[in-house]
Amino acid sequence: MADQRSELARLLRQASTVEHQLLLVYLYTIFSLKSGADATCSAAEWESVRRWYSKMLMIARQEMEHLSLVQSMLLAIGEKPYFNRDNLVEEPPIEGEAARMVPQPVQFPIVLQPFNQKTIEEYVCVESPSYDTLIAYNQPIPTWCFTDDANHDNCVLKPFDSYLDLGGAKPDEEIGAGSIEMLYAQIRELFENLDEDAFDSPYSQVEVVSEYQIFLFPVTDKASALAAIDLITKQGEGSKASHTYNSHFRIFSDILDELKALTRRNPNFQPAYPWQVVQAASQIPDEKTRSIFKMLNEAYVTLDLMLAGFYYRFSASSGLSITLQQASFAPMMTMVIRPLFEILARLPINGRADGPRTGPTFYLTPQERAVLADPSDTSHYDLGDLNLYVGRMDRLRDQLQVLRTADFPESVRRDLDFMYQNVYRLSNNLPQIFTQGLLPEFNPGS
Amino acid sequence: MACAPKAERDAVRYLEIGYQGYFMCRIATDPDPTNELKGRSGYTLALPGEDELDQAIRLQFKDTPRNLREPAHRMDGKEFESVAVYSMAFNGQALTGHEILGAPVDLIGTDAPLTGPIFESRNNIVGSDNTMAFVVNPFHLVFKNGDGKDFLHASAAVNPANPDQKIWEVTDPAIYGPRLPVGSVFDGDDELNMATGVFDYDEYFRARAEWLRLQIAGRALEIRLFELLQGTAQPQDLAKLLDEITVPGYRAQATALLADIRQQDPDFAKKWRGDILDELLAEAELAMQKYKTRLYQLEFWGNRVVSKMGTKISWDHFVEGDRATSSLHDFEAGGKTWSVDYNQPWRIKYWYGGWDGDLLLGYHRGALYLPALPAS
Repeated sequence: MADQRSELARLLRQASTVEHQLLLVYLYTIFSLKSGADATCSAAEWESVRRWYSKMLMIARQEMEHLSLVQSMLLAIGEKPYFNRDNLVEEPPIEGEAARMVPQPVQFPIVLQPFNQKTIEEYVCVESPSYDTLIAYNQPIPTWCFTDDANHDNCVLKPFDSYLDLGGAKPDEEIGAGSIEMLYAQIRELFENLDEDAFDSPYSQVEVVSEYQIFLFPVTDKASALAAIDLITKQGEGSKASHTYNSHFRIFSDILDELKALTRRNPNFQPAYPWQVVQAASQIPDEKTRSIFKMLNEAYVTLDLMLAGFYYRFSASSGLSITLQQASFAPMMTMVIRPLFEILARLPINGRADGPRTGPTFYLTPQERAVLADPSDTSHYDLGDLNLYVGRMDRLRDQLQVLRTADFPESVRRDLDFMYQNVYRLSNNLPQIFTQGLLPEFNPGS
Repeated sequence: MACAPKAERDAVRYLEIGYQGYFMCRIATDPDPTNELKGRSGYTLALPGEDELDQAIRLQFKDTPRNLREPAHRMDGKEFESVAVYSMAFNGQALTGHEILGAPVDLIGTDAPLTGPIFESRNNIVGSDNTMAFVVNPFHLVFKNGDGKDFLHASAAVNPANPDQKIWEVTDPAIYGPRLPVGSVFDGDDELNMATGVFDYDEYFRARAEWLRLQIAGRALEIRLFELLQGTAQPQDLAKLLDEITVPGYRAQATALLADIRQQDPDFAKKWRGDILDELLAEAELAMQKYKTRLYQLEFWGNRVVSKMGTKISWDHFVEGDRATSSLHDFEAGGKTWSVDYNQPWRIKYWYGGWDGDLLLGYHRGALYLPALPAS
C-alpha cells in the first residue's frame, strides 16, 4: 500500500514535470509567431497565423490545467505540490563564456524552438496517442512519429533513462508517440487500486476559476482523480474521444496540414520571426533586449513561486491564499508574463531591425528548484511570507520604471509604460488584499 | 402674501436628460492582455483594414466607417444609431420638442497610454473581469449642439478627494467603489431586448454565422473563378466547386458565372490576366480569410460571445467634477424659469449592454439628472 502510494506520487511528479515543460515550450513557440503581416506573411496568410496562435494558446492553457490537476492529485493523496522541473537549458555560464555555449541535449522532444514545420511535427508526436489508439479511434496517423527518420530526430523514440521513467515496466519501450498516454495509464491504474482512505489528506484543494476552455475541479477521492486523468488524456491525445474531438493532437495535426498547404502555395511564406534560441542572457548583444530577457525570466520565477505558495497550504480563509489567488492567474500571466514575452519577441537580439528575435529560457536556479520541489523548504525562500512576493513585484516595478523611458521603439515604450502602471498597482494590491481582503464587488462569490 | 410650504420650496427638482444609442468599443478580451492591438487569443479582433484595438468607448463611431463591419445594420434592417439625447423631463414631466433632443452625446478624455475612456479592469488589477466590476474611466460626458459645439459637460474623478490621481495609483479600490457598477444582468431583460431588438441571442449569432458562411462561400467561388482565368485551375474544378456549394443563392450565381465564362470568346480570359487579376485574387483571399477568422471566433468561443448580448451592466453615481452648461443654464418648465444648481452634486445613471463581440457594438442608455432651482 505504502509502496503503491509512493510510486503514484513519483509518477505524478513526473507528470507535473512533463506538463510544466510542455506548456513552456508551447508558449515559446507561440510567441515566435509574427504579430502582424509583413513582406513574407501577407495579411491573408496572417489570418491563418492568428488562428494558430489562438488554438495553440488554448493548448498551452490546457497544459496549465493539466499541471493544476496533477497538483490537485498530489494534494489529494497527502503529497506536497511539485512545481520543480528540469531546466530547458544548461546552467548559464558566467559572462564571457557565452562563445563556448552549446545547446544542451535534452530529453524527449521538449526543447525551446520557434514555430516551423519541424517543430509542429514534433508537437504532433508529443501529443499523439499510441499507434494502437490511433487505429482504434480512427485518428490520422502521423507516420513520421513512428519511423526512425533522421529528418525528425527529435521524434525518434528515445530510451527511458531520461526523466520520463515509467518504472521499468517495459524496459525496451521508448519515449515517443503515446508515452504521455502511457504515463497517465499507469497513474490511472495505481489510482484504481488505491484505497479510499489514501485520500485522507491534510492538504486543501485550491479554488481556481474554470474559464476559457480550462476545466478545474477538486480532487478528493478516487472518482474525481480518475475524472481528472481522463480529462487530461482526452484533451491531449484525444483518448476515448470521438474522432471529431479537437484534442491537442488533432489541433497540431490540422495546423501542420494548413502550414504545409500555405507553404506549397507560397514558398516564401514565413509565419514566424527570424529566431535564435539563446541559452543565456550573455548571448544577447543588445543591452536593452537583454534587460527585457532577464526581467521576463525573473517574472516567470516569481509566478512559479506564487503558484507553489498558492497550491501549498491553500485555505479559502487565508489572506495569503486569497492574495496569491488574485495575483497569480489573470494579472500575472496575462498582464506581466505574456506582454513581456511579446515585447521580447519584437526586439532583435543584436539591435538591428532584421536581426533574430528570441524568447526566455525559463531558467531555474538550484535554490529555486529546491523550493519548487518542496514548498516547505525555507532554506532559501519562505513561500508563506507575503514579503517574498511583494519584494519581487517591487523589484519588477522598479525595473519597469527605468525601462519605460529607455530608448525603445515608441510602441515598446508605450507597452512598458502600461505594464509599469499595472505592476505598480499589482504590487500594492498584494498587501491591500492580504490585510483587507477582496473588495466584495470583485468577488464572484459574494 | 402667498407662500409655498417650506417642504415644497426645498424639494429637489431635477432636469432629466435621457440619451441612448449604440456605442463601439474595440476592446481586447481575455485572455488577451488589455492593451492587445490585434486580438489573438480573446474573441475580439482588429481585422485588416480596420484600426487597431484600443479599448476606447466610442459613443460617436460613424466617423470611422472602416471599423463598421458588415452586415452594418441590425437584424431588423435598422441602422446602428450612435448615442444621442432622446428625452427631456423636469420634475417628472416630459419636455417635448426641446432643441437638444437628438443632440449627440460623447465620452471624452484619455487614460494614457490608452487613448480613450475605457472599461477599467486591466485583467483584475483595478477591477474585476469575473464580476464585470469596471469603472468607466475617465468619465467626462459631453453633449453637443448641431454645430458640433459642446453645451453640457459632466465629469467625475476616480478619487474625488484627489482628482488628479490615476486609477492605477489608487491603493484602496474602495475609494472608487461608488464608480463601480450597481447592478448586472447576464441573461437579458425587457429593457435591453427592446433596445437592441434581439430577443433570441442564440438565433442572432446563428444567423450571423450563417451569413459569414455565405460570404466565405462567395469568396471561395470568386477565388476559383480568378484562378480559372489565371489558368491555374481547370473548368472541371469549377464544376466540382459548384457541386460543393450548398449555400442558398450562390449555386445559381456560380452557375451563371460559369456559363458566362464558357460563352465568352477565347480571348476573354486573356483580358483578365496580369496584375489586375492578381490583385483581385489577393483581395478575395483576404476577404475570405477575414470572414473565416470572424466565424472561427464565433465557433471557438460560442456561448461566451452569445451571452454578452444578454449582458447589461448598470452604474449610478454622482458627477461632482468639472460641470458646465451653456444653453441649459436657465430653462423654462411649467411656466417658470429654472436655473441649474451647481452647488449640489449631479447624478447620472447609465447602462451598457447587448454587446455584439463580432461587430464590436453594444447599446448604451443613460440619464443625467441636473438639480434645478427657481431662477432668481
